Amino acid sequence: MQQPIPLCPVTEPAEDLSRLVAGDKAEWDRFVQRYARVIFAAVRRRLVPAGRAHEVDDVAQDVFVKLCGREFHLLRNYDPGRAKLSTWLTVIATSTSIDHLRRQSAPTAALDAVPEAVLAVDPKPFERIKIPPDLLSPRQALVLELLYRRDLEVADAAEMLGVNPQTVRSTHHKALVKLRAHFNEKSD
Amino acid sequence: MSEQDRRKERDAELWHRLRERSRVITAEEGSHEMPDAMALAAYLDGTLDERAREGGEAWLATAPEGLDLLLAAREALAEPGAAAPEALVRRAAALVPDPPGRWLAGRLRGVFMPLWQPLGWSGAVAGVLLACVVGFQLGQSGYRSTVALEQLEIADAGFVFDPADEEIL
Repeated sequence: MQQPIPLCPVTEPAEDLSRLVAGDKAEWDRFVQRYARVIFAAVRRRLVPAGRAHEVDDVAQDVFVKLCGREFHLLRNYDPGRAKLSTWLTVIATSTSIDHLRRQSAPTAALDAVPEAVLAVDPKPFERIKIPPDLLSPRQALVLELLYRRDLEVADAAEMLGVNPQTVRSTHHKALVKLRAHFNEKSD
Repeated sequence: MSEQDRRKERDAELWHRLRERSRVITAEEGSHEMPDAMALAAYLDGTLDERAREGGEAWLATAPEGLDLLLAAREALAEPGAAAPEALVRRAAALVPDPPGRWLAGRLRGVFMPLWQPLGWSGAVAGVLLACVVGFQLGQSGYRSTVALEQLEIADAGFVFDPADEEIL
């Protein structure tokens, strides 16, 4: 079986966060000095193209608030054996930025004009794609999604999946054969 | 448009049709299955074992929002970012307060630091003056004791002039 190719090979020295999560102020200061750039860059990457450059500092600050909130609850979940700290922080900062943009893009209206039911705090609707399991494998569906909806090149999709480009081409081909057969049957 | 492009367009259309038919909106069930940030970071770093990686792909294939997040994080990692503004670093550092002892030491340092140089000079001058006074006092008391001792020795030797005792002279 093919070995996955890491997108970002783990070369960063593993961080010992034990003193930081115990509340050591000097460790927190060191952490902020070292990783503010990573968090700021990830937030900036999402907000600037959306025309929200003026909110970058505040959202980056929100990421730090999340990290030290509830006695460093989030940082306690970090496992240095599984991923680099900079990768993990990038995921957290990107997720915070996307949430911020979603909140900002929600339509605003005067409170009096909104029916009470709409103001109820319901779970956020979440889109899922339920492909019939006997039709495509998850990887085949993911390859089609990357190539046809996210417009990735074969090489980029291969890098993303941690496989070589030939594997992507072959997966793509098999998926299309199945898809064509599926829709031919439907039309018959 | 070439035949290859037309074929690609038809293939893309097949995927869009299937995807649209398979699209569902759930209130909350999907979010419970969402891998955490640690799993996504491990996926990006390529440290997941094969089974976990397949599980991650199964989720990514069915959760467009998760795929959005992964692709965005991947883009951010690919580009070296600019340095964070100093104001942000200061504000973030201030989120964790100084321990009480350190706070007190910092306050005292803040109060005494501006006075430190004048206090140092004043102390040096006071030290010199004190040394002079002490030296003068020691010298004076030494002189007095020497004079007293000489007088005592003279008295003991009977050299005090007594007009009644002229024989001595």
